[in-house]
Amino acid sequence: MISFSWALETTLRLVAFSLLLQACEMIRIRASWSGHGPWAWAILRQEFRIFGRVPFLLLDHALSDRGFLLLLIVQLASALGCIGFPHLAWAPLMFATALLQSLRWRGTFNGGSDYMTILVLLALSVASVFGAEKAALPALLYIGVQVVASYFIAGLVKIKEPEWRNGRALQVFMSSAARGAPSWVGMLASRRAVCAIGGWMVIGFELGLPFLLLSVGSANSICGALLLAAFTFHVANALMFGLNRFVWAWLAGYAGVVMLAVLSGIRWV
Amino acid sequence: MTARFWPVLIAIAAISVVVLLPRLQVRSRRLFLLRVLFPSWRFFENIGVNSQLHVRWREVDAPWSEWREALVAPQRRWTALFHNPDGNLHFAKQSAVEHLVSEAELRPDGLSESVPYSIVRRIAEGSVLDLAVRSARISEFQFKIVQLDSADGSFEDFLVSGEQGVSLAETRT
Repeated sequence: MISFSWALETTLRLVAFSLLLQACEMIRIRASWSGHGPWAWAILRQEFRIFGRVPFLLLDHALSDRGFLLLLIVQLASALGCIGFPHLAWAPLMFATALLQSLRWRGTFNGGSDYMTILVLLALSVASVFGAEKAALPALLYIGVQVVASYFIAGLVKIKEPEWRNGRALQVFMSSAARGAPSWVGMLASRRAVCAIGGWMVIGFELGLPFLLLSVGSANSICGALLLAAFTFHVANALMFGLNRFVWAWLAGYAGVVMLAVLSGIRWV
Repeated sequence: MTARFWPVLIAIAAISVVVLLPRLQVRSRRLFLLRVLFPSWRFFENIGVNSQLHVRWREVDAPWSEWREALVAPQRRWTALFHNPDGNLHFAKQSAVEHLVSEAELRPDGLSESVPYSIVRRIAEGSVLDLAVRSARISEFQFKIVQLDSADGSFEDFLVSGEQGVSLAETRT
């Protein structure tokens, strides 16, 4: 069931799906990056002269209001192509469109989800250059290590903060997210004890997940259950904080985690 | 544990050490624009200071309105799990405000000519037109960034713009 080709195809399809959703959202908010919008190219373009004359001329075409729309259509089409016919050859094109999209937003549009999308696509693009047989497995393992590290680091930076340990941080974040969120988010945010327990659950989950994942080795059902729990964690974040892009960006890296767990063949003794 | 586990642990430890090193203030514009290539997984690290964009406006021959918060999070539904353009645009606007704060701290000279300032100016003008129900009589507006210290609840004005003429009204009404 779990094979190298399954992991590669799954990663390609999921990252393409993530990119597809991102392109649809970007096209929907066209008014904000064209014409008189805050991120219209007429405002941004002066900043890109620092890349030198020739790169600037290329960017001036690719990232102009019209060029950016074309870029998003290419992104949409390549993502659809990759979902239907998953192949490493799609990766460089998807990577180029995702990188240009981030550049167009002065670095990133949505922070962490852009980081993960670019990371997965960059690893797959490098693999496409060296060939699937040689480089796809290292690429998947690299993606797996980064996904595992992302949870661990997020937990590590929280546990050293007293405000995370006493629940205050989660309370503040949930209170600020409550506007626009379902009413139960505001109710939970008003209870400090709930936030303290919740804060420790988040820290424990983020710090413990990597070791749990890697400790199950080839026990596929346990690994699957843990990844399902991680997915649920992201869905809860999306519902509470509106971070929907993270759900799909991280999901794209899970097949890499599965390969990492299987190939590291860990047994705690 | 098996020997094959150690490379994985070492890789995670190495990434963690690099990420947890004290953060450098990146002054290079090129690196700033390409920062998506250098992932950081420090999500929700601390509550710190929250920068809020406020706006006020006035109509021809009328006094200034009260200051109002410009960025209001849109209502979310379960479908936002797949398609959340307004919510993500709201985050992008909030990031733009925070970038303007960084720009003001790093490069205070010529701030009003900078790209971050122009972006926030347009965000503010768009908010004014929405909040004022797109009144065609708005003649001027102002925006300011208020910093709220979440730890003690105190707040202070960080930046107050000059009086700005309205340029988008005819395109939005």
